[in-house]
Amino acid sequence: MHSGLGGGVRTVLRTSVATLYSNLVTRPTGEAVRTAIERQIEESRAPCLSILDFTHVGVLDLSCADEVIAKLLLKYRRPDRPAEVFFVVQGASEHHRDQIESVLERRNLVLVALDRRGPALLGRTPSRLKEAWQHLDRLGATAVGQFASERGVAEPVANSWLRRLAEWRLAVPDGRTRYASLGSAIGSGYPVGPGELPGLAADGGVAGYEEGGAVL
Amino acid sequence: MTYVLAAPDTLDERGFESLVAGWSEAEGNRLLLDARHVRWVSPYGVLGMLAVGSVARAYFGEAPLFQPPENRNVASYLARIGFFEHAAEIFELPGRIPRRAAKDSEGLLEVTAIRSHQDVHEVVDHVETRSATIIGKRLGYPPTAVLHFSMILSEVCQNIVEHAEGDGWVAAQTYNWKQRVGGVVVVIAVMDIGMGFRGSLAREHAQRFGETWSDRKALEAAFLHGLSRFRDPGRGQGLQGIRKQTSRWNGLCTIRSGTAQIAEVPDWIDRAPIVSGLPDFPGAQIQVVLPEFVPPDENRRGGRRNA
Repeated sequence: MHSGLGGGVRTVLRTSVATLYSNLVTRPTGEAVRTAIERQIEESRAPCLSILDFTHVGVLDLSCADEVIAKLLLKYRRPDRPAEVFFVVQGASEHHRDQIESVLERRNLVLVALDRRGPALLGRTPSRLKEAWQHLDRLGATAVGQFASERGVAEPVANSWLRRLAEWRLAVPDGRTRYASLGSAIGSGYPVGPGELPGLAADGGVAGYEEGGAVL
Repeated sequence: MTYVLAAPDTLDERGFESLVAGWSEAEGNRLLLDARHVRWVSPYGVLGMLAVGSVARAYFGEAPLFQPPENRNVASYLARIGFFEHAAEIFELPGRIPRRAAKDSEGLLEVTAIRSHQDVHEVVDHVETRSATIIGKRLGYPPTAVLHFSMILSEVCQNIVEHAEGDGWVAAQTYNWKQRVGGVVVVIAVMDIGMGFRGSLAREHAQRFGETWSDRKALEAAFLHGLSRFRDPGRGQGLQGIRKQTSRWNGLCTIRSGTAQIAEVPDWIDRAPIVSGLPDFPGAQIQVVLPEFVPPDENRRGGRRNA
């Protein structure tokens, strides 16, 4: 079940990463794409969820994947991050996932990828953290107490897991005791393809939706 | 005086080694690269002639001479693959050289100079349609492999731009390699005459190795352990990715730099994974050979692997 979340995420940015080039190769290209995404984030109202759409991307090489994905995640995972941003990848083919997975593993990062089967984690994730993420994804938005009782663990343990998920940018904190999956932060679950973004209800906690394809 | 360096009749990886062993003998003379007796040449051999010519020109300060192959098929192939256009910038060529026909070569990628990241983009864009035909239809790889192939091409070319600090070339062709794999292979050759792996990695890593620092150690560090000249831990992934993908397809990947060569060795060829003590040659010379695709079921039955 996905229920809307209150103040966790204010803006959803959907960015087609293939607007500059359809083949994402070389580091300078990756840097240009990343810079455009960062600019889009700066102009939006944080906290925000950035959906990186790979639908029209052809070749993705490791150098470019590192520049776009890994460096973006690193920047917004740091304690001194410039804004509260969460990322999901959408429309990534098996080829894209291979490259993204490699760069994430190299940098010890994780990222949510969406396809028609639903959300999946890319990168090397400790099994307990993965289970906690899957559980949160089923719950949508939850209080620490509810999560603890459903998982059958003590509240401090549940709190530690959820906090770690938030540190990995896999959960959106809403105050100190509530967390939401990225799907519920979008409003009514994950979009599964381009043009299939859900209607973002004002009471779903998402204050705005910006189409970012033209920015890049 | 002119020093004649005769190219062997088969100008492949081994043939290139004979050029490498001989070019420095020309010191004090003008080099003449005599390719008249070449009967067969691989993309690696084609780039090898450009590399040897460039090194001789840079070291001796004079454009070397070039004698084209007498064999019409070989000369025609060199014309189709665009060899002479690049050779004209390096060698002093005899008056009449075979010209490339107006129509594009039916091959995968003609000799292309790599000087910038934009060149890498152009290579990837250029092979997009051709690789779908060649990798997909002729070698039987699944559709996603075409993208992985372009990724390999992109990363090997970027190696020149990012690490060589010198110009380089790339070429890719298919040919029938019956004696080894019993069928069609696609070969990517990439060469530069830049600083080589030892030079590229020296500032960051040589001190740790002390007196044992060498071309071999540098190749091991880059190819096996993913180290690069940059401190950024995200760097150095390209060669790792090439190695991983080549291995998944049961392909051969070799990198020669300085006096050493390292390889990802498939089961269809018998060769040492690392060789040192080769004649010294600047830069890096990379070759990737991909055999026909064998579906996983047949791999299990026949003992061959590429998935």
